[in-house]
Amino acid sequence: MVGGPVKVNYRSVPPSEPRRPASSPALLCAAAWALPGIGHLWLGRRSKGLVLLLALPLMFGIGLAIHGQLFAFDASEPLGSLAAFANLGIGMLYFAASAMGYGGGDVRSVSYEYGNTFLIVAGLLNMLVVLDVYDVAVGRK
Amino acid sequence: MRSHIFLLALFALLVSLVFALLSKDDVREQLRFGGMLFAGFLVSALLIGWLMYPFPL
Repeated sequence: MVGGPVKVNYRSVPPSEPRRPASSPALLCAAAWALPGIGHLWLGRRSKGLVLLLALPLMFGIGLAIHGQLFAFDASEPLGSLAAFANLGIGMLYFAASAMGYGGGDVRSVSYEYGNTFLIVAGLLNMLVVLDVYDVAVGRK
Repeated sequence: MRSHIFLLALFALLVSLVFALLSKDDVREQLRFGGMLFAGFLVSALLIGWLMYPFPL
């Protein structure tokens, strides 16, 4: 069919509104912290969520396997407490590994410091993941 | 897993992967940015290691 220009009544088009997820940002952030990648999966970002779900626990597991240490909060050791804070960023994996007796660390091992680095950075990266989930949840990204 | 260079490369790979995922949305951009980060990590680690070589420990 050949016709003239299409006329659109713009007054009848509703203004676009930013899409908001059904869940609250706080709940999404808590889920993202508890298990890396879950927040992105919940928000429908499947590929990102799956890769994070594999990469961050893998990094944490490698840290444990090469004799890294999960630090505990100790007021007499402020640097150790900072490391504990970073370790805690990985969420429930920290508590699961501690409960199963992993993360004791072996200072005699040549890979001890590497292990600590893997564990600390895995926790810090998961904190960034939580912030990313928050940004997506409130519509900033 | 005792090789320091292997652990360094593995660490760089995983960190680059997560940074690329978080900072870019397009797959092609993620690959480009992640690759650049990974290469940057490796080159800078080797360079700094080479510069530190003369220092006694």
